[in-house]
Amino acid sequence: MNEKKRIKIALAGNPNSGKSCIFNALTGSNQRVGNWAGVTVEKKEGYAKFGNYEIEVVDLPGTYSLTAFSMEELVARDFIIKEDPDVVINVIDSTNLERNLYLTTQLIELGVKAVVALNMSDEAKHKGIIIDIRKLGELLGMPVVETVGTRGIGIQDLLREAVAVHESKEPLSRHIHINYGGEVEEEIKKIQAALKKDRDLTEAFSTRWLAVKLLEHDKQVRDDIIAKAGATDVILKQIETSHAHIEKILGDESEIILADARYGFIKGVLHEVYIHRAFDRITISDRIDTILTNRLLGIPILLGLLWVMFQTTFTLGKYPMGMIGGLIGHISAFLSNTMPDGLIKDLVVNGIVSGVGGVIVFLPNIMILFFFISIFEDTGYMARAAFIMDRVMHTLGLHGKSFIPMIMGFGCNTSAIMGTRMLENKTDRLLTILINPLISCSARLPVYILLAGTFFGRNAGNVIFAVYMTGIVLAILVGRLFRKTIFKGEAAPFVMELPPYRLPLLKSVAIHMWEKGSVFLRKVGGIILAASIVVWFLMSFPRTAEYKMEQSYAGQIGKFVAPVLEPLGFGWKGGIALITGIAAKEIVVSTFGVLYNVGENEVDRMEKLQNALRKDMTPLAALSFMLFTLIYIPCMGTLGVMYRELGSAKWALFAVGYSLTLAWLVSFVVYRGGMLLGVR
Amino acid sequence: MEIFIVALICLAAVFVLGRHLKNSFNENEACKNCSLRKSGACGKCTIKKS
Repeated sequence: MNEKKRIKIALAGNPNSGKSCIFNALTGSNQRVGNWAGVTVEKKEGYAKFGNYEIEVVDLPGTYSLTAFSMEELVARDFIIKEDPDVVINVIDSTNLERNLYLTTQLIELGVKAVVALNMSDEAKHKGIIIDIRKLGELLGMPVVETVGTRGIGIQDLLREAVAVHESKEPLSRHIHINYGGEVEEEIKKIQAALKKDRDLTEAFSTRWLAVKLLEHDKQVRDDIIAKAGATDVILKQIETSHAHIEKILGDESEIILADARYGFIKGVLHEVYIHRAFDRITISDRIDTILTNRLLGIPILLGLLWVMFQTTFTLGKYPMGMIGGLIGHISAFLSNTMPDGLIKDLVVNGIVSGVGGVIVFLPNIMILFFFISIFEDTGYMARAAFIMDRVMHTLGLHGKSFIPMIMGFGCNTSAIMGTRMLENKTDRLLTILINPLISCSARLPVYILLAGTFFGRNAGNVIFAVYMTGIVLAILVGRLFRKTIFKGEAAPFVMELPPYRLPLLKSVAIHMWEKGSVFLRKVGGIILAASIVVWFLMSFPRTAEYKMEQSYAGQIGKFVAPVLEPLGFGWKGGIALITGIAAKEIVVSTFGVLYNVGENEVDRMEKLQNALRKDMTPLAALSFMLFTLIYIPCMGTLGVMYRELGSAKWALFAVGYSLTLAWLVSFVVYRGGMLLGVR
Repeated sequence: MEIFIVALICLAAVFVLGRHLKNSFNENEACKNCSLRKSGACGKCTIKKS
């Protein structure tokens, strides 16, 4: 009797309708809530339980319609048509019903079983918008549930309604037709009649839906018809006749007529259901935007916030960093005093503890950086940053949307490159992927903190900020250069959505920080540990009677690359660190930890490492090294994802080639230029 | 004996680095048959398939 039943529910909705929050509330997933348009261009699945039902929940990409003009729309529509979910939950932003209901009209046309989640209903009420939800459900032919995704309000009701709709027990659930007006309806019927001549088509799709799509010039449906239908000629001829007829009688293109009819339907619905409506008053978000996205103030404020982020990352991070450093020192001293002398002790203390310990101290800094990134995303400021930079990017011939993956690159270039899938245009995407590694990811942060902290004292935070800014400026300049030479043409225009400002949820920020912190720790326990052991081996062998580090394998490799790097101010040890850093950029620091191993009994290992570095490098050379680390070859993970996303090794190799050349040139100019100016 | 243990540890480390390199260029099995992946629109995937 209590046998489990399984159903599949798809979540569909506009970007920023709070779909991710509903998904999290339904499935209990710890998916982070982002704020800029397109953050959910991904497939998310989860599971929910309700009564006897085990419910698979699929979060579709945020879309404004299902007309297959963009990749997101195509994905959402394909999923609904081909995967045939049992119920679609249409998440709607209650504060913006008119725009959000456009997607609902298209779900109505598809004839799917659906429930409307009237999300952010608290914000709507706060704005003075009161809706008759029963009436709305009646008019749409689907039940409507008020929800507040961020607080989990209405989630159980939503599941109850979804199950009722699936079991056909919901009285409100019915199939309705949107009336497109006499002339259009007549043409829809004629196309339907032509379509019905082909049985394969009528069995797979609703002929009314196909007819509407064909009238809308939907390329994908038209191609499908040509591929599948036997009576293609009759159908295509009828479509042409209908287009011409509508245009002649109604004086506009059929897709515009259809869109107007849908908005007319929506206006009619809203006229019925609004009990009270607040009229366009200036919201708090509008007021904040007058300052934050101001033409003159926008960029200085953005730069100021980034400066605060890097300053805090360095200055606030110093304290826990010192504590972890002290702990590592004690562990090292303890092991050194208790382990018997020999190769194993050498490996553990000078290889593993020096390498891993040298990197793990930066965990607090990484978490502080992600605290800021998470706050920027969750408040909605990240979308504003992209909006502000859009103007700059466009003047340089770049796509404004490209700036979103660039900002994501502050966290990790790998996920940022994946994020370029939001760009519809292939050339824009290729260009954005190629310049993305110039944006300094969090893995490079330990290198900057170590060197800036060692050589620039109180100005360390400013130097780190400057290095990050150099990355952005170089990305824009290189992008401009590529646009002028390799990828000629202008960037496609796009509309940047500005979601309302929201208070960040502490839980969401904490989850984000923990996720990034745990990724860092897994890296430390995995490849950084492995790399430290390999570097120790290369540094410790061959073991001759008169051992000299220069004669070790590491020394030989370092000496081999040294002639290329010496003009840049750093010697063979820097060369080794850069080579090992290709696996993951944090390994640059762990390699320094092993190469400059600072005495087995030293408690304050960080200070000793800094002193050792000062003997080997000047501040100018350290700056040159930081810039080289910023620009040279992306890490293996990034190269791998570039190879996969670009679909060829050619472009990945091109990225390696151009980044190495650029790194060398920039470091050379900075180091030699600085020397000429008398800086050391 | 000591050199043998150290050699084993070093080999294991090389194996870990090699696997990292291989994984960097290999696509996640779970993604290969995903309909969103095929359409090129799945974005940063968060699916953890058992």
